[in-house]
Amino acid sequence: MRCHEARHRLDPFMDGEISVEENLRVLEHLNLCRACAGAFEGEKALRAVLRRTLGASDAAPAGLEERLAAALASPAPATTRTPLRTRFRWGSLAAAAALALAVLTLVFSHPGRMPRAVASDLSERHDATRLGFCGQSARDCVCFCSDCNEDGEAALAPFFRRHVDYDVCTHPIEGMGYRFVGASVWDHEGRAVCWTIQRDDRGRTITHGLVATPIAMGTRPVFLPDAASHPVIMTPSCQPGMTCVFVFDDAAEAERFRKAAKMY
Amino acid sequence: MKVGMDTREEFQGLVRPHLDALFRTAFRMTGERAAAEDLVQEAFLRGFRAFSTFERGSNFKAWMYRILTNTYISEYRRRRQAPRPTDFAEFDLEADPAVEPLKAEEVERVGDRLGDAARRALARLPEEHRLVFLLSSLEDLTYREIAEALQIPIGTVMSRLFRTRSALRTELAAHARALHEGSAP
Repeated sequence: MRCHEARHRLDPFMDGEISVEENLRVLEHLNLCRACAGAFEGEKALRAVLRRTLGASDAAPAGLEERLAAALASPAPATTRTPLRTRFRWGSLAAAAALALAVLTLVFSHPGRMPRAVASDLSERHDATRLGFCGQSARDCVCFCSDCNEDGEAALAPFFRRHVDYDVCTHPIEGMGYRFVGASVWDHEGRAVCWTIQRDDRGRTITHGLVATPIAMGTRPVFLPDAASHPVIMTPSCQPGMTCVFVFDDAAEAERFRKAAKMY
Repeated sequence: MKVGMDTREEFQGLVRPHLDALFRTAFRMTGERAAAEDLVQEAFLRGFRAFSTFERGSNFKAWMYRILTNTYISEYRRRRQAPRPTDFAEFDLEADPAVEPLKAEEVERVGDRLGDAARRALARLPEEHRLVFLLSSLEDLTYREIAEALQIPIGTVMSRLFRTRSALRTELAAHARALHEGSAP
């Protein structure tokens, strides 16, 4: 075997991927050729360093196995829930912050899907909902403009009640100049997501989804600036076992919301 | 189909020995621990849903890696906003024949200080090359297992590995020598 042949076989030789016969030939060459033996020793040392520095100690996080098991075992949510007849509204961002604080005191330990995965799904819905549904009011969506709907925002609660048997929190964000333009109910993995869409005078949109899919998250809001195509903030909802998901057009608006709601 | 407790336990039992390795690979794919957890969970759920199609006695590890890789490609990579390098414009995958391969003593002299350069070099690699390299060099999958996991021919596994390693060697040799010269009195 010549040097260039041996060098060419060095990687599969070290990976244990060549035939016994070829293996012997490479070994024989390495015994005879100091230059190739040097390259082999160098490669061996390099591999050891790469393994140590790139491969070390990335064990799965504690509890991951249990969370996976819980995700498998997680039953579908009950089809009937005790309706909460109190409709939560955030009259101002101060109230929003107060509500968030109150909610954070609840223990929220629902095994389920990881926030980032859910956020990615919902962030994509933002594009479909962000302009509202003017002129398209249908069973699963409603527009609040005066042309489409005489009741305006008052149609919000009856609309959601037609779809789900719990009250849906809607969180007006008037403090930042947003107002409701529409609502919809869409399915996420077999469970309802109740969406409200708010827009400001500059055409910026914030969508809010009340998500019934179990999400593995703690008691604090989760900010996912790069969840997918749009930034997402999740907070445990006032509804037990549900999550409020806010989706923003861009990072600047998400940041403005976080500051205004003192969500740090 | 109603899934019994036995199936669930069997699936979990098969995944358990590979969980650390799956997480490590997911971490290297996504670059973030949170995203890696999401990815592993998604792959785990997909794997369980498809478990009835797994042929008992065949290679479960390669099968799970294939699901992990497919999940990554379909669920995560397409959502990434920043463009990833998709060609070799930034990274010369042809080894420079003028560069003398590193000797063992040269590697030992700089040791783990090479880690950062290796990480940077890997991050600049085209994704399909990086994956093959990681699965082979760090996760010890055989060429056949990698081919199965990534659904590419073994010849492609070998050529990607060869080019990746040659390029890394060239880059790290230059870096190790520069490090050594920089630290010389």
